[in-house]
Amino acid sequence: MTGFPYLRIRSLGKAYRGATALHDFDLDVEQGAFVALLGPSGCGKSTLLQILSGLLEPDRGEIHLAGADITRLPPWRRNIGLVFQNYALFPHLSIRQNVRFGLDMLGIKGKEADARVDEALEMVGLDPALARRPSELSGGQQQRVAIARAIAIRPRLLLLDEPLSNLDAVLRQKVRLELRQLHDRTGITTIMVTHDQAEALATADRVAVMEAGRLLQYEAPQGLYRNPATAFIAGFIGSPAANLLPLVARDTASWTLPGGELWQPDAALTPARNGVAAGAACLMALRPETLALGSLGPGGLPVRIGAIEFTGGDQLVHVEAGQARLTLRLPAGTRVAGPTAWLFPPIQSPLLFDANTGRRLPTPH
Amino acid sequence: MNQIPDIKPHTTAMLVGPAAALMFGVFVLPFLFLLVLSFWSQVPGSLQFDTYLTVLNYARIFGDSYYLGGLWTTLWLSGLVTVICLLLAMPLARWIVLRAGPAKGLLIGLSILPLVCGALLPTLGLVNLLSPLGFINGALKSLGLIQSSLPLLGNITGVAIGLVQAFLPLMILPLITTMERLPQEYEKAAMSLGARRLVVWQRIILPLLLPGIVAGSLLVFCASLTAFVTPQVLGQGKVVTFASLAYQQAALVLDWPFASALAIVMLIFLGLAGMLGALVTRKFGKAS
Ligand SMILES: Nc1ncnc2c1ncn2[C@@H]1O[C@H](COP(=O)(O)OP(=O)(O)OP(=O)(O)O)[C@@H](O)[C@H]1O
Ligand SMILES: [Mg+2]
Repeated sequence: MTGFPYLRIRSLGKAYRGATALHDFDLDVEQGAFVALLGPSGCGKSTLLQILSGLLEPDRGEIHLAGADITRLPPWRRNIGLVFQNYALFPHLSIRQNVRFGLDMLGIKGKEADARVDEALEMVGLDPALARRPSELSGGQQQRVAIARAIAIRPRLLLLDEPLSNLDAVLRQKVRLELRQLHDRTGITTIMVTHDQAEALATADRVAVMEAGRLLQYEAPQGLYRNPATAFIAGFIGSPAANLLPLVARDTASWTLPGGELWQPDAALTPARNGVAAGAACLMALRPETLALGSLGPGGLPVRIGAIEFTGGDQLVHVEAGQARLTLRLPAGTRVAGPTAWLFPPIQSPLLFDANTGRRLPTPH
Repeated sequence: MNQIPDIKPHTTAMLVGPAAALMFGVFVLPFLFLLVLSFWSQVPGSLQFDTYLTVLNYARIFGDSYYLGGLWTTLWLSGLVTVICLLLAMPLARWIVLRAGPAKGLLIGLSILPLVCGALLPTLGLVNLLSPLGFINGALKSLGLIQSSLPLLGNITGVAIGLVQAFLPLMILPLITTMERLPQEYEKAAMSLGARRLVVWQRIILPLLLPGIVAGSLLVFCASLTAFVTPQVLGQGKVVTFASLAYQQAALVLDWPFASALAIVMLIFLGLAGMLGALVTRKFGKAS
């Protein structure tokens, strides 16, 4: 172990005419990893990719790749592949000429270049004999060409900016699997931007969650799901995402629900057990798939049953607890009797967040 | 659903008719007359036409070094003006499209100003700037950079300056339109694939801007080829262009058949320029 990661980003900052797009951003990526950059629209994901590829200059901070400082290196000397959301295939060149472009720049000619173009096109599942112009291809095919063009130069890093967002839902599922397989075959260190959490969880080794130019959490998908660092992350990871129930500690053993109703939970979920002082406000993350409905019993949360959505194997049950709305995911066969019921969270230490800062409250022992 | 209403043949005729009649009356007929006229000749010493068909007018143009010289001057002057406009307009248009931000509309408006104020006013303004006692010579002299006035009026230099000033907008507008439809991602993708700026220009930007370059060059070239007021005023009669020759023959010498032949030759060169433009677009736009 050298202790120095393959890609190392340190205190990167970038502002556009006063508007901060990246703020003190740190990220380490191991060689051969597949990292997803996840965050809502406008949080600085594309800005980060442009800085990594050298198309945009950061205001401050450093980038090291394979041990060398590349912060001020011009894009054409970085050897970093970049795939744009709109693919940006050169419209005046044929498919093969597009893929060959980067090889020309490297001075690779003749038979060797032909072989590398074939290899790249086969790698993304396209027929190397395809003699067409980009405008004559479907969106999915254009995207494959864009990826082939980026990997033909055997980049040190492959950056994908929302590669799946222009594809329809069915194709998206298929291509995200193919992207992962392509990565596993080539071993190219890959960073993929997305604002679809399911996509990030399904493909990446590690997910970097961003919000407003900052890195909130950087973890493997399971860790992100189990231990979200903030209420924001808990509220958007998972399908559907966790419910965030606003609670105020009434005393050591009970909570006040929004709307003023009382909830006396199981011992594991009480304010005292979780280190919340009386009067403090917090958010409890309740995962839809961990909740159960039942008739009266100790520890239950009184709810009114609302709409029920059938999704195939499961059903999504929307309920109201006081003035808060929650969603449960139950097996499709479960009978749900209304109009009121009791909701039972799992008996284990809950995910609690400070209502003001959104930060995770420390788990007591 | 909106549907296109059925258009009956007689409706079509009524819609297209007036414009077609006007075009025929004021454009096609005079043109045909011009063509026929160019093969007639003037009866010496009178205003009568000799309607016997002859190619003598054309033989005179291509046999006399005065007219050939005028033709040659006009052609290379137009070519020079086109190249200068292209070199000036390219960075300007790119800057307006990429960097001007909120001032873009204003800048486009300013850059097409020469088009809307006609040929005469700006040209007369230029006389003040360029004359031996004008602003430019005065400024250079008072700075001690020159001893005697630079000859900027009454020669090719002055005419070229005037034509560039007048027709620059014809280059800027098509370039801006083409550039605006060109996403920045093409350049960025090329750079990330290892292309330096010069290569990006050669292999990505210029080929994709070609339609705009051809359109702008054609407009400027044709406008310069047929320009009359600017060469006349800034050339002060000392620069012989084809349009001024035709004017001399039509309005002063009153040899209409010969003036017509001059005009037809000019039209042929306009046609050739158009064909060259189409050829360039076909060759470099589709192939490669
Ligand atoms: N060229 C620019 N000029 C000014 N502001 C910009 C520019 N590009 C981006 N921004 C701003 O910087 C912030 C980050 O933009 P960026 O494109 O990196 O977001 P993103 O995470 O990629 O969003 P999306 O998911 O919508 O693509 C946004 O607030 C955006 O408005
Ligand atoms: Mg983006």
